[in-house]
Amino acid sequence: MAKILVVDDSLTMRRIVVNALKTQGFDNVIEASDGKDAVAKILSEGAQFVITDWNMPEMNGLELAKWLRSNPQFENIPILMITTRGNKDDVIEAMKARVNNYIVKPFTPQGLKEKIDQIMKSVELKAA
Amino acid sequence: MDMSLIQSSQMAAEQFPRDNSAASLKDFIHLLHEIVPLLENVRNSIEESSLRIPKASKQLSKVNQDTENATVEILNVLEAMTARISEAEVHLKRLKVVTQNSKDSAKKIAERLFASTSDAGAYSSAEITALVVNEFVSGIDSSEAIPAIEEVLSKTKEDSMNIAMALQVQDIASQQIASVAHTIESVEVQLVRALNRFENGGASDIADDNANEKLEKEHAFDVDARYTPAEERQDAADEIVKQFSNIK
Repeated sequence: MAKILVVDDSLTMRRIVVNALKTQGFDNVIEASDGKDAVAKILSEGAQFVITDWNMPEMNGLELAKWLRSNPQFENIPILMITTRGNKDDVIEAMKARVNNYIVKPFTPQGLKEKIDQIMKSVELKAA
Repeated sequence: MDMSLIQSSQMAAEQFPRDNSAASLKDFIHLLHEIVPLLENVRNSIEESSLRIPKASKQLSKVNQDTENATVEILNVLEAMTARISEAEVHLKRLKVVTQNSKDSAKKIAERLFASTSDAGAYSSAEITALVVNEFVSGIDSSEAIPAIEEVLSKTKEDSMNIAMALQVQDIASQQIASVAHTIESVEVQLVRALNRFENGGASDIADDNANEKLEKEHAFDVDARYTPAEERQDAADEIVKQFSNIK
């Protein structure tokens, strides 16, 4: 089963996302509290999917996405951004950083499932 | 402001011939006498405010921490509830299987009992027993208890998930509070600058610029964060994601 890395500086949000993932059958989940922590975790423990917030100290979600895409080992890793930032410019900036999909908080479990399914499907299509 | 300078100016003005320029200078010095105490009051107020601001900022941080702690406690309870509901669902499934097996066995018993009777007319004891067994089976069929319990468990699970989702408000409120704290701390930086100008006669302090940079780094928040249903913003985001996907 794919290991999912959930990145958010808010402990509450990490718990909510992890719980939502578990109800959808994703039990293999690790957490990071910001982009810098996420880089350390992904290098030491690995992950096959990243769900990240945007606004975080040390290294924000956008910077994390750019770092992943610039690293050959992780350049194709699926990235889902979950953030309060809902402006058109923010979404465009995230998509230019090659984030796979985007959720605006507050999110619903159904919305999260749809986005994960969309990403998984597109990744399978690329692999095929 | 240096009082000795004002006094020197006053003495110098008194040595000038009594003409318009001397009168103006005297008026100016008189004005300075009135302004200096006012400026002292302003300086004291600024100093007092700048001492209170860190306390306000710390209080806001504490509010954030306390609400996060409380929210995590609620999430812990919800997780425990969900786990118990799942456990109950497992037991209910077993009960359904046992009930079905009991029904099937009872039906077989009833069939055999009816088959064993031979005389028409009065009911034999076997037939009576078979009728009782059939009644028992009918009772199981008409009982809606199990489906009802299943529905209650399912709805309760859904409700606890909805509560967990609603707790996203804590994260969003936390960002709004962080935004206010940042504003307060920015005011503090400006007040410190103003104080420095009073003390140093206008020279800026390099520490001020560093303080601003630090402020930007420490607070990671969205100034526009709000807890409102995000359907419209999500639809707009989906549209952009779709456009980028099509470009690929």
